[in-house]
Amino acid sequence: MSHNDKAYENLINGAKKDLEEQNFGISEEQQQKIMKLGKMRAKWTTVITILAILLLILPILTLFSFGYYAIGGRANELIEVADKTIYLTEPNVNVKEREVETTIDIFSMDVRLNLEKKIGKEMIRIGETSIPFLFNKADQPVSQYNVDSPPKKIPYFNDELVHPKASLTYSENEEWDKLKGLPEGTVAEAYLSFDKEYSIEELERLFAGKNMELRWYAVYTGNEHIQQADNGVYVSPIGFPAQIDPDSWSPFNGEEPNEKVFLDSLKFLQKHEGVATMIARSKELDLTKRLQYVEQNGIKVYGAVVTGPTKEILKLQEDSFVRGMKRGEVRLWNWHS
Amino acid sequence: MELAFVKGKKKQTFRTKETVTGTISILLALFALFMINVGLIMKSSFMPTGIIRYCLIGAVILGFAGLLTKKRNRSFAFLGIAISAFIGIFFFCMIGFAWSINPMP
Repeated sequence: MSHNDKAYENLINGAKKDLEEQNFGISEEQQQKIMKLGKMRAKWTTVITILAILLLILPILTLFSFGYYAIGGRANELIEVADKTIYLTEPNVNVKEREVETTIDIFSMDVRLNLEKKIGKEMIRIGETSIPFLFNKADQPVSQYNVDSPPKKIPYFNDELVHPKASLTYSENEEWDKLKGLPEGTVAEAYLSFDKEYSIEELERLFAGKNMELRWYAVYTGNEHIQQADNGVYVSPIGFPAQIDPDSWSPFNGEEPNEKVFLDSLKFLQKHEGVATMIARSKELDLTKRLQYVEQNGIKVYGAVVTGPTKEILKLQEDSFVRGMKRGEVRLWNWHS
Repeated sequence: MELAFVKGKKKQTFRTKETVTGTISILLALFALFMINVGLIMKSSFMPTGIIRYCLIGAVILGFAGLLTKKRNRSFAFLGIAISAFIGIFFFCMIGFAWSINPMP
Protein backbone atom coordinates (compact mmCIF):
# COMPACT_ATOMS: atom_id res chain seq x y z
CA MET A 1 0.00 0.00 0.00
CA SER A 2 1.48 3.24 -1.06
CA HIS A 3 1.66 6.29 1.09
CA ASN A 4 -0.99 7.98 -0.96
CA ASP A 5 -3.41 5.07 -0.58
CA LYS A 6 -2.95 5.10 3.17
CA ALA A 7 -3.59 8.84 3.33
CA TYR A 8 -6.69 8.34 1.22
CA GLU A 9 -7.97 5.56 3.51
CA ASN A 10 -7.42 7.78 6.53
CA LEU A 11 -9.30 10.56 4.86
CA ILE A 12 -12.24 8.24 4.05
CA ASN A 13 -12.34 6.92 7.58
CA GLY A 14 -12.24 10.47 8.92
CA ALA A 15 -15.09 11.49 6.65
CA LYS A 16 -17.13 8.44 7.71
CA LYS A 17 -16.57 9.31 11.33
CA ASP A 18 -17.64 12.88 10.64
CA LEU A 19 -20.80 11.70 8.95
CA GLU A 20 -21.62 9.45 11.89
CA GLU A 21 -21.05 12.37 14.20
CA GLN A 22 -23.26 14.43 11.97
CA ASN A 23 -26.11 12.37 13.18
CA PHE A 24 -26.63 15.70 14.95
CA GLY A 25 -27.12 13.76 18.08
CA ILE A 26 -30.78 13.09 17.27
CA SER A 27 -32.59 9.83 17.46
CA GLU A 28 -34.27 7.97 14.57
CA GLU A 29 -37.67 8.96 15.92
CA GLN A 30 -36.74 12.62 15.96
CA GLN A 31 -35.37 12.33 12.46
CA GLN A 32 -38.70 10.95 11.26
CA LYS A 33 -40.49 13.79 13.00
CA ILE A 34 -38.28 16.29 11.20
CA MET A 35 -38.97 14.50 7.92
CA LYS A 36 -42.72 14.70 8.53
CA LEU A 37 -42.49 18.38 9.38
CA GLY A 38 -40.43 19.02 6.26
CA LYS A 39 -42.99 17.20 4.11
CA MET A 40 -45.82 19.17 5.64
CA ARG A 41 -44.02 22.45 5.02
CA ALA A 42 -43.33 21.46 1.43
CA LYS A 43 -47.01 20.58 1.04
CA TRP A 44 -48.10 23.98 2.37
CA THR A 45 -45.63 25.80 0.17
CA THR A 46 -47.06 23.96 -2.85
CA VAL A 47 -50.64 24.72 -1.78
CA ILE A 48 -49.91 28.42 -1.31
CA THR A 49 -48.05 28.64 -4.62
CA ILE A 50 -50.90 26.92 -6.51
CA LEU A 51 -53.46 29.12 -4.77
CA ALA A 52 -51.51 32.22 -5.73
CA ILE A 53 -51.31 31.08 -9.36
CA LEU A 54 -55.06 30.31 -9.48
CA LEU A 55 -55.99 33.65 -7.92
CA LEU A 56 -53.75 35.48 -10.38
CA ILE A 57 -55.48 34.06 -13.48
CA LEU A 58 -58.62 36.25 -13.42
CA PRO A 59 -56.87 39.56 -12.60
CA ILE A 60 -54.23 38.92 -15.29
CA LEU A 61 -56.87 38.12 -17.93
CA THR A 62 -58.92 41.16 -16.89
CA LEU A 63 -55.86 43.37 -17.07
CA PHE A 64 -55.04 41.97 -20.51
CA SER A 65 -58.59 42.66 -21.73
CA PHE A 66 -58.58 46.24 -20.41
CA GLY A 67 -55.18 46.75 -22.00
CA TYR A 68 -56.42 45.34 -25.32
CA TYR A 69 -59.36 47.77 -25.47
CA ALA A 70 -57.56 50.77 -23.98
CA ILE A 71 -54.20 50.71 -25.77
CA GLY A 72 -54.46 52.40 -29.15
CA GLY A 73 -57.99 53.62 -28.38
CA ARG A 74 -59.59 50.41 -29.65
CA ALA A 75 -62.65 50.66 -27.37
CA ASN A 76 -63.24 54.30 -28.23
CA GLU A 77 -63.03 53.51 -31.92
CA LEU A 78 -65.63 50.74 -31.57
CA ILE A 79 -67.90 53.07 -29.56
CA GLU A 80 -67.52 55.68 -32.30
CA VAL A 81 -68.50 53.10 -34.94
CA ALA A 82 -71.63 52.21 -32.95
CA ASP A 83 -72.47 55.86 -32.37
CA LYS A 84 -72.09 56.94 -36.00
CA THR A 85 -73.87 53.86 -37.34
CA ILE A 86 -76.94 54.81 -35.31
CA TYR A 87 -76.84 58.47 -36.36
CA LEU A 88 -76.54 57.52 -40.03
CA THR A 89 -78.92 54.55 -40.24
CA GLU A 90 -81.65 55.32 -37.69
CA PRO A 91 -83.87 58.23 -38.76
CA ASN A 92 -84.37 60.86 -36.05
CA VAL A 93 -82.54 58.78 -33.43
CA ASN A 94 -79.91 60.36 -31.22
CA VAL A 95 -77.50 58.69 -28.85
CA LYS A 96 -77.34 60.09 -25.33
CA GLU A 97 -73.59 60.57 -25.50
CA ARG A 98 -73.11 61.19 -21.81
CA GLU A 99 -74.83 57.94 -20.95
CA VAL A 100 -72.72 55.58 -23.04
CA GLU A 101 -71.77 52.68 -20.80
CA THR A 102 -69.01 50.19 -21.41
CA THR A 103 -68.46 46.95 -19.55
CA ILE A 104 -65.23 45.11 -20.17
CA ASP A 105 -65.05 41.43 -19.43
CA ILE A 106 -62.46 38.81 -20.28
CA PHE A 107 -61.68 39.30 -23.99
CA SER A 108 -65.03 41.02 -24.49
CA MET A 109 -66.74 44.38 -24.21
CA ASP A 110 -70.36 45.42 -24.01
CA VAL A 111 -71.40 48.90 -25.16
CA ARG A 112 -74.78 50.18 -24.01
CA LEU A 113 -76.28 53.19 -25.77
CA ASN A 114 -79.37 55.06 -24.66
CA LEU A 115 -81.44 56.16 -27.63
CA GLU A 116 -83.72 59.16 -27.88
CA LYS A 117 -85.92 60.95 -30.38
CA LYS A 118 -87.18 64.46 -30.58
CA ILE A 119 -90.97 64.47 -30.68
CA GLY A 120 -92.31 67.99 -30.68
CA LYS A 121 -89.89 69.99 -28.62
CA GLU A 122 -88.86 67.28 -26.20
CA MET A 123 -86.24 64.59 -26.43
CA ILE A 124 -87.98 61.32 -25.61
CA ARG A 125 -86.02 58.28 -24.48
CA ILE A 126 -87.05 55.51 -26.87
CA GLY A 127 -84.93 52.65 -25.55
CA GLU A 128 -81.46 51.26 -25.38
CA THR A 129 -79.25 49.04 -27.43
CA SER A 130 -76.51 46.83 -26.12
CA ILE A 131 -73.71 45.82 -28.50
CA PRO A 132 -71.52 42.90 -27.47
CA PHE A 133 -67.96 42.69 -28.81
CA LEU A 134 -65.60 39.74 -28.68
CA PHE A 135 -62.20 41.36 -29.08
CA ASN A 136 -63.03 43.77 -31.95
CA LYS A 137 -65.75 41.68 -33.59
CA ALA A 138 -69.28 42.93 -32.99
CA ASP A 139 -72.16 40.57 -32.34
CA GLN A 140 -75.87 41.15 -32.97
CA PRO A 141 -77.05 44.09 -30.78
CA VAL A 142 -79.77 43.51 -28.21
CA SER A 143 -82.23 46.40 -28.30
CA GLN A 144 -85.12 47.27 -26.04
CA TYR A 145 -87.60 49.93 -27.11
CA ASN A 146 -90.29 51.61 -25.06
CA VAL A 147 -92.26 53.15 -27.92
CA ASP A 148 -95.63 52.21 -29.43
CA SER A 149 -94.18 50.97 -32.71
CA PRO A 150 -90.60 49.79 -32.22
CA PRO A 151 -88.51 49.39 -35.38
CA LYS A 152 -88.19 45.97 -36.96
CA LYS A 153 -85.22 43.98 -35.73
CA ILE A 154 -84.05 43.22 -39.26
CA PRO A 155 -85.94 45.23 -41.90
CA TYR A 156 -86.37 43.73 -45.37
CA PHE A 157 -88.18 46.61 -47.06
CA ASN A 158 -88.46 50.34 -46.50
CA ASP A 159 -91.88 51.42 -45.33
CA GLU A 160 -90.95 54.86 -44.05
CA LEU A 161 -88.75 56.88 -46.41
CA VAL A 162 -89.33 55.94 -50.04
CA HIS A 163 -87.37 57.16 -53.05
CA PRO A 164 -89.40 58.99 -55.78
CA LYS A 165 -88.67 56.21 -58.29
CA ALA A 166 -89.85 53.46 -55.93
CA SER A 167 -93.52 52.81 -55.27
CA LEU A 168 -94.88 53.71 -51.87
CA THR A 169 -94.98 50.75 -49.52
CA TYR A 170 -97.88 52.11 -47.46
CA SER A 171 -101.31 53.52 -48.09
CA GLU A 172 -100.85 57.27 -48.38
CA ASN A 173 -104.48 58.16 -47.56
CA GLU A 174 -104.54 55.84 -44.58
CA GLU A 175 -101.52 57.58 -43.07
CA TRP A 176 -103.03 61.06 -43.58
CA ASP A 177 -106.27 59.79 -42.05
CA LYS A 178 -104.36 58.52 -39.01
CA LEU A 179 -102.92 61.99 -38.57
CA LYS A 180 -106.30 63.67 -39.08
CA GLY A 181 -107.73 61.51 -36.32
CA LEU A 182 -105.29 62.84 -33.76
CA PRO A 183 -106.50 65.60 -31.45
CA GLU A 184 -105.18 69.12 -31.79
CA GLY A 185 -103.19 69.05 -28.55
CA THR A 186 -100.64 66.56 -29.83
CA VAL A 187 -97.26 66.64 -31.49
CA ALA A 188 -96.13 64.04 -33.99
CA GLU A 189 -93.18 62.71 -35.90
CA ALA A 190 -93.63 62.14 -39.63
CA TYR A 191 -91.53 60.38 -42.26
CA LEU A 192 -91.85 62.34 -45.50
CA SER A 193 -91.07 60.97 -48.95
CA PHE A 194 -90.56 63.65 -51.57
CA ASP A 195 -91.58 63.81 -55.23
CA LYS A 196 -87.97 64.22 -56.35
CA GLU A 197 -84.47 64.63 -54.94
CA TYR A 198 -83.72 67.99 -53.35
CA SER A 199 -80.61 69.73 -52.14
CA ILE A 200 -80.42 70.74 -48.48
CA GLU A 201 -80.82 74.42 -49.42
CA GLU A 202 -83.92 73.70 -51.50
CA LEU A 203 -85.48 71.78 -48.64
CA GLU A 204 -84.69 74.50 -46.14
CA ARG A 205 -86.46 76.96 -48.45
CA LEU A 206 -89.46 74.65 -48.82
CA PHE A 207 -89.80 74.27 -45.05
CA ALA A 208 -89.09 77.92 -44.23
CA GLY A 209 -92.04 79.44 -42.39
CA LYS A 210 -93.55 76.07 -41.52
CA ASN A 211 -94.20 75.53 -37.84
CA MET A 212 -92.27 72.27 -37.59
CA GLU A 213 -88.70 71.06 -37.28
CA LEU A 214 -86.73 69.08 -39.85
CA ARG A 215 -84.99 66.28 -37.94
CA TRP A 216 -83.28 63.90 -40.37
CA TYR A 217 -82.45 63.81 -44.08
CA ALA A 218 -82.52 60.60 -46.11
CA VAL A 219 -79.73 60.88 -48.68
CA TYR A 220 -79.85 59.24 -52.10
CA THR A 221 -76.76 57.05 -52.40
CA GLY A 222 -77.45 55.33 -55.71
CA ASN A 223 -79.50 52.30 -54.74
CA GLU A 224 -82.50 53.59 -52.74
CA HIS A 225 -84.73 53.46 -55.83
CA ILE A 226 -84.34 49.69 -55.91
CA GLN A 227 -83.64 49.33 -52.15
CA GLN A 228 -81.09 46.65 -52.92
CA ALA A 229 -77.36 46.27 -53.03
CA ASP A 230 -75.68 44.51 -55.95
CA ASN A 231 -76.00 41.21 -54.10
CA GLY A 232 -79.77 41.64 -53.89
CA VAL A 233 -79.87 42.24 -50.13
CA TYR A 234 -82.09 45.06 -48.85
CA VAL A 235 -80.33 48.32 -48.00
CA SER A 236 -81.95 50.76 -45.60
CA PRO A 237 -81.86 54.54 -45.91
CA ILE A 238 -78.73 56.39 -44.92
CA GLY A 239 -78.82 59.99 -43.84
CA PHE A 240 -77.89 62.48 -41.18
CA PRO A 241 -79.47 64.80 -38.61
CA ALA A 242 -80.88 68.03 -39.99
CA GLN A 243 -80.18 70.02 -36.84
CA ILE A 244 -77.08 70.73 -34.80
CA ASP A 245 -76.99 68.51 -31.75
CA PRO A 246 -76.69 70.56 -28.55
CA ASP A 247 -74.79 67.63 -26.98
CA SER A 248 -71.13 68.63 -27.33
CA TRP A 249 -70.05 64.95 -27.46
CA SER A 250 -72.24 64.26 -30.50
CA PRO A 251 -70.48 64.02 -33.88
CA PHE A 252 -73.10 66.49 -35.19
CA ASN A 253 -72.34 69.09 -32.52
CA GLY A 254 -71.98 71.99 -34.95
CA GLU A 255 -68.20 72.23 -34.95
CA GLU A 256 -68.41 71.41 -38.65
CA PRO A 257 -71.42 71.46 -41.02
CA ASN A 258 -73.58 68.34 -40.69
CA GLU A 259 -73.04 67.54 -44.40
CA LYS A 260 -69.28 67.36 -43.87
CA VAL A 261 -69.65 65.29 -40.71
CA PHE A 262 -71.94 62.97 -42.67
CA LEU A 263 -69.33 62.42 -45.39
CA ASP A 264 -66.54 61.99 -42.83
CA SER A 265 -68.69 59.54 -40.88
CA LEU A 266 -69.40 57.55 -44.06
CA LYS A 267 -65.66 57.32 -44.74
CA PHE A 268 -65.01 56.30 -41.15
CA LEU A 269 -67.73 53.63 -41.23
CA GLN A 270 -66.48 52.33 -44.57
CA LYS A 271 -63.20 51.44 -42.82
CA HIS A 272 -65.19 49.52 -40.19
CA GLU A 273 -67.94 48.22 -42.44
CA GLY A 274 -68.05 44.76 -40.86
CA VAL A 275 -68.70 46.15 -37.39
CA ALA A 276 -71.11 48.83 -38.71
CA THR A 277 -73.13 46.24 -40.65
CA MET A 278 -73.44 44.08 -37.56
CA ILE A 279 -74.64 47.06 -35.49
CA ALA A 280 -77.05 48.43 -38.11
CA ARG A 281 -80.48 46.82 -38.34
CA SER A 282 -80.12 46.51 -42.10
CA LYS A 283 -77.72 43.68 -42.82
CA GLU A 284 -76.17 45.28 -45.89
CA LEU A 285 -74.72 48.77 -45.91
CA ASP A 286 -72.77 48.68 -49.19
CA LEU A 287 -70.79 51.67 -47.95
CA THR A 288 -67.97 51.71 -50.50
CA LYS A 289 -70.34 52.11 -53.42
CA ARG A 290 -72.67 54.48 -51.61
CA LEU A 291 -69.84 56.72 -50.44
CA GLN A 292 -68.44 56.85 -53.95
CA TYR A 293 -71.84 57.85 -55.29
CA VAL A 294 -72.31 60.66 -52.75
CA GLU A 295 -68.78 61.96 -53.35
CA GLN A 296 -69.41 62.08 -57.11
CA ASN A 297 -72.99 63.39 -57.09
CA GLY A 298 -73.23 65.41 -53.90
CA ILE A 299 -75.87 65.21 -51.19
CA LYS A 300 -79.38 64.85 -52.60
CA VAL A 301 -82.26 64.27 -50.25
CA TYR A 302 -85.32 62.19 -51.18
CA GLY A 303 -86.98 62.00 -47.77
CA ALA A 304 -86.91 63.59 -44.34
CA VAL A 305 -88.22 63.18 -40.83
CA VAL A 306 -90.06 66.15 -39.33
CA THR A 307 -91.68 66.79 -35.99
CA GLY A 308 -94.16 69.40 -34.91
CA PRO A 309 -97.81 70.00 -34.03
CA THR A 310 -99.99 67.33 -35.63
CA LYS A 311 -102.23 69.85 -37.38
CA GLU A 312 -99.20 71.64 -38.85
CA ILE A 313 -97.87 68.39 -40.27
CA LEU A 314 -101.31 67.72 -41.68
CA LYS A 315 -100.99 70.89 -43.79
CA LEU A 316 -98.14 69.19 -45.73
CA GLN A 317 -100.78 67.15 -47.55
CA GLU A 318 -101.41 70.22 -49.67
CA ASP A 319 -97.74 70.55 -50.63
CA SER A 320 -96.96 68.94 -53.96
CA PHE A 321 -93.35 68.14 -53.02
CA VAL A 322 -94.56 65.72 -50.32
CA ARG A 323 -95.30 62.47 -52.12
CA GLY A 324 -96.07 60.38 -49.07
CA MET A 325 -96.20 60.65 -45.30
CA LYS A 326 -95.82 57.90 -42.72
CA ARG A 327 -96.83 58.74 -39.20
CA GLY A 328 -94.26 58.13 -36.49
CA GLU A 329 -94.44 58.65 -32.73
CA VAL A 330 -97.12 60.88 -31.22
CA ARG A 331 -96.99 62.68 -27.86
CA LEU A 332 -99.11 65.12 -25.91
CA TRP A 333 -98.62 68.81 -26.65
CA ASN A 334 -95.15 70.11 -25.83
CA TRP A 335 -94.76 72.66 -28.62
CA HIS A 336 -94.15 75.52 -26.24
CA SER A 337 -91.93 78.48 -27.01
CA MET B 1 -10.39 16.76 -2.64
CA GLU B 2 -14.14 17.01 -2.54
CA LEU B 3 -14.34 15.19 0.73
CA ALA B 4 -11.70 17.50 2.11
CA PHE B 5 -13.85 20.35 0.96
CA VAL B 6 -16.87 18.82 2.72
CA LYS B 7 -14.80 18.26 5.80
CA GLY B 8 -13.54 21.80 5.80
CA LYS B 9 -17.05 23.20 5.41
CA LYS B 10 -19.00 24.60 8.28
CA LYS B 11 -21.92 22.65 9.60
CA GLN B 12 -24.67 23.33 7.04
CA THR B 13 -28.21 24.25 8.12
CA PHE B 14 -31.14 24.28 5.68
CA ARG B 15 -33.63 27.07 6.23
CA THR B 16 -36.88 25.19 5.91
CA LYS B 17 -38.87 27.10 8.47
CA GLU B 18 -40.70 30.15 7.08
CA THR B 19 -40.66 33.45 8.88
CA VAL B 20 -43.87 34.20 10.77
CA THR B 21 -44.05 37.68 9.27
CA GLY B 22 -43.47 36.25 5.77
CA THR B 23 -46.26 33.72 6.28
CA ILE B 24 -48.67 36.42 7.46
CA SER B 25 -47.56 38.60 4.54
CA ILE B 26 -48.40 35.94 1.93
CA LEU B 27 -51.71 35.17 3.63
CA LEU B 28 -52.70 38.86 3.61
CA ALA B 29 -51.63 39.22 -0.04
CA LEU B 30 -53.60 36.10 -0.99
CA PHE B 31 -56.66 37.40 0.85
CA ALA B 32 -56.40 40.72 -1.02
CA LEU B 33 -56.10 38.79 -4.29
CA PHE B 34 -59.12 36.69 -3.34
CA MET B 35 -61.18 39.84 -2.70
CA ILE B 36 -60.17 41.19 -6.12
CA ASN B 37 -61.32 37.92 -7.69
CA VAL B 38 -64.65 38.18 -5.85
CA GLY B 39 -65.07 41.76 -7.07
CA LEU B 40 -64.30 40.76 -10.67
CA ILE B 41 -66.61 37.73 -10.59
CA MET B 42 -69.48 39.73 -9.08
CA LYS B 43 -69.13 42.18 -12.02
CA SER B 44 -70.45 44.97 -9.88
CA SER B 45 -69.04 47.90 -8.01
CA PHE B 46 -68.45 45.50 -5.13
CA MET B 47 -64.71 45.79 -4.74
CA PRO B 48 -63.78 46.17 -1.06
CA THR B 49 -60.90 48.53 -1.78
CA GLY B 50 -60.61 49.53 1.88
CA ILE B 51 -59.96 45.95 3.02
CA ILE B 52 -57.65 45.33 0.07
CA ARG B 53 -55.66 48.47 0.85
CA TYR B 54 -55.13 47.50 4.51
CA CYS B 55 -54.22 43.93 3.50
CA LEU B 56 -51.67 45.25 1.02
CA ILE B 57 -50.08 47.65 3.50
CA GLY B 58 -49.85 44.83 6.04
CA ALA B 59 -48.49 42.36 3.47
CA VAL B 60 -45.76 44.75 2.31
CA ILE B 61 -44.65 45.77 5.82
CA LEU B 62 -44.64 42.21 7.12
CA GLY B 63 -43.02 40.99 3.92
CA PHE B 64 -40.08 43.35 4.37
CA ALA B 65 -39.89 42.39 8.03
CA GLY B 66 -39.76 38.76 6.89
CA LEU B 67 -36.96 39.53 4.46
CA LEU B 68 -34.90 41.01 7.29
CA THR B 69 -35.36 37.95 9.48
CA LYS B 70 -32.24 35.79 9.53
CA LYS B 71 -31.86 32.01 9.68
CA ARG B 72 -35.35 31.48 8.24
CA ASN B 73 -36.70 30.76 4.79
CA ARG B 74 -37.82 34.03 3.19
CA SER B 75 -39.68 32.69 0.16
CA PHE B 76 -43.14 33.47 1.60
CA ALA B 77 -42.02 36.99 2.39
CA PHE B 78 -40.80 37.39 -1.20
CA LEU B 79 -44.05 35.94 -2.56
CA GLY B 80 -46.12 38.20 -0.28
CA ILE B 81 -44.30 41.30 -1.55
CA ALA B 82 -44.47 40.11 -5.18
CA ILE B 83 -48.25 39.54 -5.04
CA SER B 84 -48.74 42.90 -3.30
CA ALA B 85 -46.67 44.56 -6.03
CA PHE B 86 -48.81 42.85 -8.68
CA ILE B 87 -52.01 44.07 -7.01
CA GLY B 88 -50.59 47.61 -6.91
CA ILE B 89 -49.70 47.44 -10.62
CA PHE B 90 -53.10 45.89 -11.35
CA PHE B 91 -54.99 48.79 -9.76
CA PHE B 92 -52.71 51.39 -11.29
CA CYS B 93 -53.13 49.97 -14.81
CA MET B 94 -56.87 49.39 -14.40
CA ILE B 95 -57.44 53.00 -13.36
CA GLY B 96 -55.30 54.21 -16.28
CA PHE B 97 -57.07 51.97 -18.80
CA ALA B 98 -60.53 52.76 -17.44
CA TRP B 99 -59.79 56.48 -17.74
CA SER B 100 -58.77 56.15 -21.36
CA ILE B 101 -61.84 54.09 -22.34
CA ASN B 102 -64.93 56.19 -23.10
CA PRO B 103 -63.60 59.32 -21.35
CA MET B 104 -66.95 61.09 -21.16
CA PRO B 105 -68.24 62.93 -18.12
